[in-house]
Amino acid sequence: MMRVLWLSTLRWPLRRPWQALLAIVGVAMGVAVVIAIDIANESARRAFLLSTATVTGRATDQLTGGPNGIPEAVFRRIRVDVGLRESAPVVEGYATSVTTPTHTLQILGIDPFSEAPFRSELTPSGGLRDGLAQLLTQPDAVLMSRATATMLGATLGQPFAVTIAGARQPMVLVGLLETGDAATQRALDDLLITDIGVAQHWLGKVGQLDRIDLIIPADARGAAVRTQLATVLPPGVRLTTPTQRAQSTTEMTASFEINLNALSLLALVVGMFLIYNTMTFAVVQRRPLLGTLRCLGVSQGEIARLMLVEGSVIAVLGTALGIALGIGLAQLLLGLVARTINDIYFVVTVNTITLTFWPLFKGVVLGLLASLVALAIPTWEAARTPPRTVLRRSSYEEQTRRLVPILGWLGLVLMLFGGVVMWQIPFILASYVGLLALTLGAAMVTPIATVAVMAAIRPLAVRLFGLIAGMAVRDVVTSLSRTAVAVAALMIAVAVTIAVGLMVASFRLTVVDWLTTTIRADVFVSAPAITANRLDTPLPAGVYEKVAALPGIDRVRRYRSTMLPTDTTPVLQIALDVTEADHAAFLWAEGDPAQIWPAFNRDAIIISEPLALRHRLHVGDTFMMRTDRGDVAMPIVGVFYDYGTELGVVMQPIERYQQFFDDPHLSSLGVYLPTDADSEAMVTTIRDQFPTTALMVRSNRTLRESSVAILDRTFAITNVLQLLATIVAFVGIFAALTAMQLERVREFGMLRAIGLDPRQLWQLVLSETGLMGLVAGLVALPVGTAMAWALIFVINRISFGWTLQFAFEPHIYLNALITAIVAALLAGIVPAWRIARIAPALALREE
Amino acid sequence: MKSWWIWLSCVWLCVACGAQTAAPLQTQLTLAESLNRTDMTGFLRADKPRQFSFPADHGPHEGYAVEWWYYTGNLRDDAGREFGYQFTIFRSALRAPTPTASAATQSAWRGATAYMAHLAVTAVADQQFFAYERFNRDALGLAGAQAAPFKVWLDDWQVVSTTPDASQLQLRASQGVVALDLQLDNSMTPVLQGNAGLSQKSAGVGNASYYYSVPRMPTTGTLTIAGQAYQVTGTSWMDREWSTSALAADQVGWDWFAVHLDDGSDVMLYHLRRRDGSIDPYSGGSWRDADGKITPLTSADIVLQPVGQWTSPHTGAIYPASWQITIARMGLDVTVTPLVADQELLVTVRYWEGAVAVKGQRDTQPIQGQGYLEMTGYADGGTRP
Amino acid sequence: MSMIVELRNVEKWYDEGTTRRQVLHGVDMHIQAGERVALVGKSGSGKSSLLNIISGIDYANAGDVIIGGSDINQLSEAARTQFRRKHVGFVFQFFNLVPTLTVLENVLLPLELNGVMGATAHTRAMQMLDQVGLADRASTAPDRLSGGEQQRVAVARALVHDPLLVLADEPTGNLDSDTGEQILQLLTHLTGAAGRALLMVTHSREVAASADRVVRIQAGHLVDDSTGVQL
Repeated sequence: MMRVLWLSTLRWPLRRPWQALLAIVGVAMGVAVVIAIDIANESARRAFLLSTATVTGRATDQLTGGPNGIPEAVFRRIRVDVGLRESAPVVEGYATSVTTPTHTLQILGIDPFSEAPFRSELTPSGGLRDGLAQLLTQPDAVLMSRATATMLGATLGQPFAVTIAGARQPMVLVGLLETGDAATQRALDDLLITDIGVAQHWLGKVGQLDRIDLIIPADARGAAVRTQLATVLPPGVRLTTPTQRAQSTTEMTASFEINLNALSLLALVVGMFLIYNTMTFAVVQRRPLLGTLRCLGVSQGEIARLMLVEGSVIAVLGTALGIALGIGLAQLLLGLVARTINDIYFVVTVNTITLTFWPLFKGVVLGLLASLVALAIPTWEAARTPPRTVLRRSSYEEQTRRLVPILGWLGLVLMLFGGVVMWQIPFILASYVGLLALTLGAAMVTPIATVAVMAAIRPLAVRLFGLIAGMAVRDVVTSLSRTAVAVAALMIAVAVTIAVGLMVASFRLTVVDWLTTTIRADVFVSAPAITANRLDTPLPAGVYEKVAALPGIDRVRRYRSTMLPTDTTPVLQIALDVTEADHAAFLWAEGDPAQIWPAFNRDAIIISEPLALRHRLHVGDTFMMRTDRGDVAMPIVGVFYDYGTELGVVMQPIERYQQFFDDPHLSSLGVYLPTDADSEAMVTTIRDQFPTTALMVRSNRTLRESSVAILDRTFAITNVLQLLATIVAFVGIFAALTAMQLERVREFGMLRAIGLDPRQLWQLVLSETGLMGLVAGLVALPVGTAMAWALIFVINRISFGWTLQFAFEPHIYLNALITAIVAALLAGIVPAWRIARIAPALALREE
Repeated sequence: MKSWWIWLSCVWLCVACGAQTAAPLQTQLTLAESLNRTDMTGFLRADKPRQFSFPADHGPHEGYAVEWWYYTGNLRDDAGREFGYQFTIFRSALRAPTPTASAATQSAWRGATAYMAHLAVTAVADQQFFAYERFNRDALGLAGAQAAPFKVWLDDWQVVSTTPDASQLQLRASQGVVALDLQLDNSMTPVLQGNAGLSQKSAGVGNASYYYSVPRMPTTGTLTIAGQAYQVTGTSWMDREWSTSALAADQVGWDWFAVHLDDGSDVMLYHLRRRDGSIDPYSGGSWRDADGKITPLTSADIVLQPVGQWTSPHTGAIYPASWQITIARMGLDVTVTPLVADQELLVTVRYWEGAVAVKGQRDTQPIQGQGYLEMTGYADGGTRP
Repeated sequence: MSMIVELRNVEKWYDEGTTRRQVLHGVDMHIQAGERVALVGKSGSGKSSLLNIISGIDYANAGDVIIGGSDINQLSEAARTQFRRKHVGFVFQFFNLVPTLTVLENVLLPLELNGVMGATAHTRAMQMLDQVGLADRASTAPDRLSGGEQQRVAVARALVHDPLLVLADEPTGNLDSDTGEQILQLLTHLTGAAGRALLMVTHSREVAASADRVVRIQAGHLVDDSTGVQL
């Protein structure tokens, strides 16, 4: 073990600790973002599965029905007639905390007499005498875990309230649920257990059950039971398994999760650049030392080992720090992720992260791997250091300069490859690989772009800003070996900013256009829903009739939307009134309007573009719809654009829906007024009609605004991630620029000696960094646009199935350019300050 | 009089729901704390004699908090194999009956009554004993009782009358390895226990129940154990009680006998045991002779002497192994011996109830008989997981 | 007396596109053990190239380069590195001490590279430092020393592993005349007495004067080979 040899390099970071620190921080941030997103996604998924599993208990099978659930008489038939004793009815729903409306709670109505084989955790342990009896006799009695009680401010025996479907529901806590182990205890969070009769009353489901859990053995006896069940069940009630149901629900977020992961990987890529940059600098700074060592007879392999170890230490420390940061960041991001899932997909209540092995492991591996990849080139560079006497810096720079065009060509090829991959291969992972190739290729093109841009502006710079500017321009090029990576990293961050900005803008443009076209009614009436997209809460009885009878209304359009289970992910079913006046509100991707409507009124359905894309359905195919009368094959006669949800929508006339489903309820009404009528006045009028009922009454404008607000909220997480990536890049730029400038201290000292004053040095340093920012920004413009194209037309299309319009917003480009320059200038302030303070003599002495 | 102490509104419910799995019984159930219907407002109490009419009174009496239908029987098949069975359905009101109608949106699940049922079968030849327990409430018709036509049921366990006057009953219950499908002849005139049906349990007006029995019910049917069906005949005994009352705090258990003697008499006796070891003066019984003449028995008439000990391997409780019954007034001196030593029900509450053989003398003539014995309160000292 | 350095007809050229730039033309040179030779020449005359070839840092395109009996020109780059590690010591114009190591550690480095560690190495290094008069500064950082002191450490470092050959590239170029004199004395004394060969590249009169022999190189040719130079 060559102790002294190791010391010669390992002590180096101690002299310039901040450099290594910045590298560690950069890697840490990259790893942190990757881990944070992974943990947030994983936590949300696990929370959902755990709550589902807790609520499912030991059930092997489940009976489920249509939108109106299962008639409760079916339970008696199963339990008494078939004699299936291991059967438990369940009624479920959601509530929200009165004080924190975003905090959702799950209501589980159970029959304590059936529960024992299924969910023994949900019945209080012995010693709790009165709780269970009160559950059966006291109206509004509820059980919950201690943690939930604390959160809701509920104490034993005292009334408290939660919000259900917009209305305040009083309850009394009659008992606390306590289990032995921490994991199951967590699963009880946010769960309100009550007697099934009470749940029916609260949730407006009197007479129906949401499902019946069963335990059917897997053997021949069980098979006989299943056969017998099939004869006893009414049509529309099916036998399924809990895993099937959980699976199809969690799959809904698959695309969302992948996209988030990809964005987070971006942060890691930038972090990778950071470590590459730092190590390259380390090599550059130590070149004299390395040269000396080579002279003394240290071999290339030994030099490589030294550099590798140092880089690995940074990688390991950065990754370790990244894990800690990532866990903290995950907690912050969790709220955003959960809210997006709630808004768009399904209800999940998750308030703390679950730390599992896999995301941490993945983060560690990625961090280390990325760092090692980034280390490869600097290590190779270091090993190639020739012995001291042969060393001459300008020749090194010359070598680099020769590489630049080659690199540029390679980069272009890589970009083309990426583009082709994205174009031709319709798989999401391939698309991301293509995007990565595009990004790396762009980074490789940056050096030659730098040279080109500098050459182009040199005469202009000199003319406008004098000698200093000319020096700055020249310096950027001569220090290319050291500036290239920093510029590339900044370019990528700015390009991503542009790409994401364009994507969001395109989304908004498309959705706003679509909303304007499709949302035509003047006023909308619906029942309050727990999540933005779930519209299956029925309108209270009588609302439609009352509203339709109001004066000053042209017509009222009925809607009934429900979630329809399929063999894969659920689908949104919308039954509605369609008159000729409504035909113009549909934008068709496939199908001839002249033929669509007659068929629609007869027996056909229309589906949304994401559904068509995902399941490869076209006009003329059939869609198997699970109805209360059994499975019905509905012919598809048109495909329309729909941006309300990526889930896939099927539409049919409401009369036909009521034929096939035992569901007389409505979800919402569209009220049409004569032209020039005052929508807001009608909103008030309608609200006044129902002073005690919880209803959402909104004008057209309000509805559109809130839809857009939800869209914006959906992108919140994307914006956060992108901001994080930019921060990581900025840290890198800062580190790079500072190191670079400080390395040229001697040079600057000389400049001072020949007569430049501190102010001019400031100008020089800031001009250089500003120019680098300019190059980064300029190159980012086309690259960002290409990335935006990839995101909009390839990735979103594959992930979600939407056709988007491309929004060209010049201000995004301008912002990006300014950001690049400002970031670079900011990064130059500290070095400039330090350099300007150096006394010339001191600088000259330093070697 | 039967194991009405098992009845509770609260305790056995919550224990029950947990205990239906293999989950260990964690609560200590002592006699005193089990009968804690502390709030008796809104319920009727057995505080004065009443007029009984049948078959109406075979049905439920909703105004009272607790009630049961208790069937035991000694059966044998053609090959002489002996069996015993016990089938009980208990009713416990969850809340006092309210005169006002419930809300329009009241769910069908919010029944006001909870039910518990015990099924036990003894196979003497193989010395086997099986016992099962079920719970439910009167929601959706899952459990309940009605007078006309008479029916009492919990899930698919039921006793139902096959004639309009309930003179013929069919009992059907099965779980695990046992199944019963019996026809009971209910045409005998019911015996009103206590004071014309008002059976005082402890001091204080209202600390009583309305109690009648149908001691001798000829029975035929099928008894199945582990897939093997036996055609059986024999005699059953039905006990019926309803009340809203509490035991005195110092009463820790009782021993109850229902015996068919081969001279045609049917005897019912019980001893209420106190904490200090003495016998409560409210103990008693009744004697119905072959002609139907009823003689009420007081505590002073009955000498019940436990003989020997049997220790339960399950609960560690020590039960008397057999009994010596002397009723000098009726000239009876017999030994009552369990046909199977271990007929301890390991359900929510632990008690011993099983088929017994009776042998001895009456007025110096040898006499034999069969019946059922119930011993409670012996396992209260501890719990065994 | 054995021959430490023997160059026979050594040639060095660079091909730049179609032209060939010849740096060394048929150089013959020899240095005996204990001999101290000064190599003089203008910048661009090929001094550095010759130095690189003799030390094994670079290879000759033609000719034999025999150091200590081995033709190092036939060796691979890795082997030449090993050779250099074992048999060559360097003294640079700008001292080139490792700034992150103490004085003692700097001198220990060549020993460590040659597998000598622990107490043995420590003793030897301290002996060396003693010989250059810096034993009391063993744990000082190099940047705290004056130029002359640094060069003395460099000399110690160049000799501590008992090399066959010591190469000095303008050893006094960064020092004042008195200090430079000191260094020259040290160098010549320590190498001559131990029977090592010393080659000093210089354009300094004093350095040349301290040598046994002066060799002049001009446009890639060894021009002079005389003792007692007159420059």
